[in-house]
Amino acid sequence: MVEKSEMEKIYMDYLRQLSKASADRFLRLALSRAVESYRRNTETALRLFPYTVELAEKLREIKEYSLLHVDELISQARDMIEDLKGHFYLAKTPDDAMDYIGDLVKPGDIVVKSKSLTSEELHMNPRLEEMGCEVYETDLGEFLIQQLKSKPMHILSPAIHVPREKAAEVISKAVGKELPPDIPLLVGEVRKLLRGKFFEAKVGISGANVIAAETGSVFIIENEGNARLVTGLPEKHIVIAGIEKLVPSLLDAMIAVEVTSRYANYKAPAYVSMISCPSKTGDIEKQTTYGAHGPKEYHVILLDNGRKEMIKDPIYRQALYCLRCGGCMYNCTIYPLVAGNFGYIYMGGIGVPLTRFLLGGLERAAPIAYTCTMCGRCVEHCPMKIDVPKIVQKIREEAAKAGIMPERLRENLGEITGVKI
Amino acid sequence: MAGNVLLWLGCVYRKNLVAEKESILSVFRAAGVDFETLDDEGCCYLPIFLAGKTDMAKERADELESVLSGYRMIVTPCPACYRMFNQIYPEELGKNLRPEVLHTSQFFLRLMKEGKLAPRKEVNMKIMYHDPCELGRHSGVYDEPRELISLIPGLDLFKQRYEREKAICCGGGGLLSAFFPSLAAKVATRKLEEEDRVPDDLEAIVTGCPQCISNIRAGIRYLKNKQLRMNLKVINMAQLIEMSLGR
Repeated sequence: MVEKSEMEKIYMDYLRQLSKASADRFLRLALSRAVESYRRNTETALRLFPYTVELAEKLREIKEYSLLHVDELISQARDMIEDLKGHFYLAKTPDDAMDYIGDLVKPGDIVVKSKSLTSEELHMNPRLEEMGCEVYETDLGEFLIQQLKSKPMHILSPAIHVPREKAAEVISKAVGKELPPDIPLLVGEVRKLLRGKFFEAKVGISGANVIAAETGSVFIIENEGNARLVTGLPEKHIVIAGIEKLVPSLLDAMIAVEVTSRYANYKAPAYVSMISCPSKTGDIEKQTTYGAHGPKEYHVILLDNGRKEMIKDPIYRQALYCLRCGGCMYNCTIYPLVAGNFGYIYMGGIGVPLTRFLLGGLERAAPIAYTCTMCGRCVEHCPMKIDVPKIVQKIREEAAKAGIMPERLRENLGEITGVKI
Repeated sequence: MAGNVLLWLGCVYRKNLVAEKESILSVFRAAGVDFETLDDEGCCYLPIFLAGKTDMAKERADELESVLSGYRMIVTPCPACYRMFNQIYPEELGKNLRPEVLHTSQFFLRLMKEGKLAPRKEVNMKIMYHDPCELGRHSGVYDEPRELISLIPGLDLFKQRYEREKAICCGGGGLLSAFFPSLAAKVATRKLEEEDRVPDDLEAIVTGCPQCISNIRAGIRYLKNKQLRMNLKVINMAQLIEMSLGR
């Protein structure tokens, strides 16, 4: 655990970051628009498909069952993936996962990635670069974030805080010519730049939205089509995902896909990829040959990194039901003022337990926990009804026990309540 | 003292909202309620609990139990105290208080229905009711404050975009206003402008929480609209009732 003085510095830096963000007029404007458009779209999607709400209740049960039987589901997935000639690895720590990936890449390799928050737990990009790889984020938002050397500000729309003028500047630099702030033109330029990279890439790395244990099938939901290219063009495809993405059956996985998309404000996402093994053909003499048009090698890495510890606790376990639809943030009290600054890497109220267990620890989770108003509005909007205020309360208890309650809160509370804490 | 009603005021009313507190006392008197207050009331310790000091909250609950058990009914104008006694005590601290605990909105409504409070005078004012998180989402009290408001003649009620379960927090909850007051105030400003979208001619926000009153007032100072910034008041139920009683 950190020293008290160091912790106070973390708190103060965090509050300064929030102050700065909340005073940024462009950020506020971008967020206002995003919030309104998200709410409008989600409302429409749920009105057209009203049964999604019931489906979400069912999914919560599936998720709970899956977490309580996670070891069983892991071995089921492993057996089927290996049976279908894919490779499976259960990584206990981010280092274990990076060691495994390190054996699959060579210096000079081009690596293309589609969006994966889990890869942040591995600090994957800088570490791949240290290994001599050239890494490209291919989701447009992630691409912008990577070029800006910034951090994602929303789980679904990572570049939510970047206006078109800034995007033009960044993309101009990447392609080496001056571009106007014209959105379709910018999108076209990134498409041109990345198209070549998809073909040159030796390795494609993706995340997963949900994994069906019975067939080992990985599901990826997307709109841009970049995940299709990442997972389809290079000769090696690596999936990195947390163990909480496992559900028992293909049908369960489809429920997760439908609920996630709806609450992520889509009537239907442009693409859902289902991947179970390397590409293969038996068209000549029924002889199975791997690597027809798609990847020859397929690796699924499931990451524990504290998740099994979370599963043991009934309050923290709920955080692993999270589908990463992002709805809580658009209905949050704090997020629309400061975006992902209300977080560490994992953000928002749900980011509190994820930060505590998966990336950052208690010292990075506590500042987020103490700036949550615990209003419970996110719970109302969460398809999984995750009780964020209760989780935040538990993290605060941990922080108080560890002696790292913010000094400023202690003093002010003393003044308000007359109690010496 | 047994058999009596205890008016538990809470820290914010006792220390910071003195005029508002006086209105509460005067409504109690106007209705002829036989009630007491405590000279050395102290804190309910919900803030201490929310800060993470569960053990301290537990000790305080043991201590307060003997004081509170002597009353037939506890009435509080503070939703934090209300939730502490009604919900955190049994669910988190293993304590069941004997007396019934009511929020002032519930108690005043009872008095009105029993005919002990008769708001007759028209209050010609455009108001909005704000659901405090501690009272609404956390305690499920949505109807009584609304019914109470509906019994005051003359009011022009503005309905905001999101209310009840979907109501927008003012930013004063979860200790944010103690940890980072400037951000809490900005939350309130944003809530009024972007979420509630209050009209230019709104005159008062009525709410049942002293924490919300303080924080929304802080947020009003940053409103873009000058008219609202100058004129918009934040008041509690007792002040509203007082106006209708003609005091």
